[in-house]
Amino acid sequence: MKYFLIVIFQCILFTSFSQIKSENIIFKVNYHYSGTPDTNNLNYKAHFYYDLDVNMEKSFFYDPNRLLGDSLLFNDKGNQDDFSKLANLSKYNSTAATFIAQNEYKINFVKIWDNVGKAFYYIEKKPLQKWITTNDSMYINNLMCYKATTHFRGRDFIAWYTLKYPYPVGPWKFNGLPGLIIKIEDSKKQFLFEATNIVNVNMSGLKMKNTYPLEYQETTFKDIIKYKRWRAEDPQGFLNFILSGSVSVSISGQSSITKRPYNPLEIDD
Amino acid sequence: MYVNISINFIIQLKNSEIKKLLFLFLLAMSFAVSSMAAENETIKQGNKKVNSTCLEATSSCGTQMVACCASCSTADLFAALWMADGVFCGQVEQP
Repeated sequence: MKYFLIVIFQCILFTSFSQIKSENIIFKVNYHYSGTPDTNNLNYKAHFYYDLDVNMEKSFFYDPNRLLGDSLLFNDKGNQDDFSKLANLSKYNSTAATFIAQNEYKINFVKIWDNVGKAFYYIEKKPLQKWITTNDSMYINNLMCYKATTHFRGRDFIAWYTLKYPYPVGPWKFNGLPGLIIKIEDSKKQFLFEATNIVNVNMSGLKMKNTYPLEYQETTFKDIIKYKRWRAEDPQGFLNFILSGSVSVSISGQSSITKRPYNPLEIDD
Repeated sequence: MYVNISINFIIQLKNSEIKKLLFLFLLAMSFAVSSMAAENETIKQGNKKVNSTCLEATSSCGTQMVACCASCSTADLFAALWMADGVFCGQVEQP
């Protein structure tokens, strides 16, 4: 009986330890994104910075500044009854990128959170890209990388991945190669993600983030694309739509809100 | 009222050193209490700036935004400003 109890106790201990270990981040990749939001001004580039956390089961792609701002907002809303103090919006890093993707390797879809004024959640079925791998190789930041190509939602992309990190992960919605994507760019050179730093954090005990910290509404990819186009072409009309008519918002000194250029990374759905 | 009672109590004491110390303590306490009252007044004044139908905020791209409604809470107004910030400001350029 004594030995039986010891075995049971050891099993519980081992299971708990394995659980904790599997949640730990193995490595973290910093990505720099450079995009062309306006095709009439190809010299202008928008820049965003993201992290990709990777462990044995999944990857989590996000802008750490945005997640920090959202968590701060969540806490402030809980503790604060004077909303005039919350109205200093810049402290919540709201210009940081809102896109978040979680890719669990054993599940056949990717979870996406995106904020187009209102926070939405949708899923994307895997495989998202059909890759053509080649034997072409080159060194990027001292890492041997291999070339792969894909056509994804109206654009052709060239990716460079490394087998040193043999996980099917990459920036944004790109995944499914035999190793970590170090660099990916479209053929027109308008959109580029490149890894700027990789940190091995296996021993530090950093835990994988799991979800978006604020309230969100479920939607579909088709609707998100529709909303993004609407937001660019008619910002005031789109804002009125997401406000549902109960509150009106205006910008001081502007009678109408000018439309923004629209050159999405995803052209087709 | 508490201050008056304390002063009377201190006056009745015979040891002058203790008297001095207690007076100083009372003075410090009064000062601290009046400071706290002033701070509360500032917070009340801050609340007064927001009326029941409109809330103003500086957006993350530097513009002044005003949210108004006929019948809603300041929480609704704040949520609207937050959405407007997302629609009008820089993140529209993200992929």
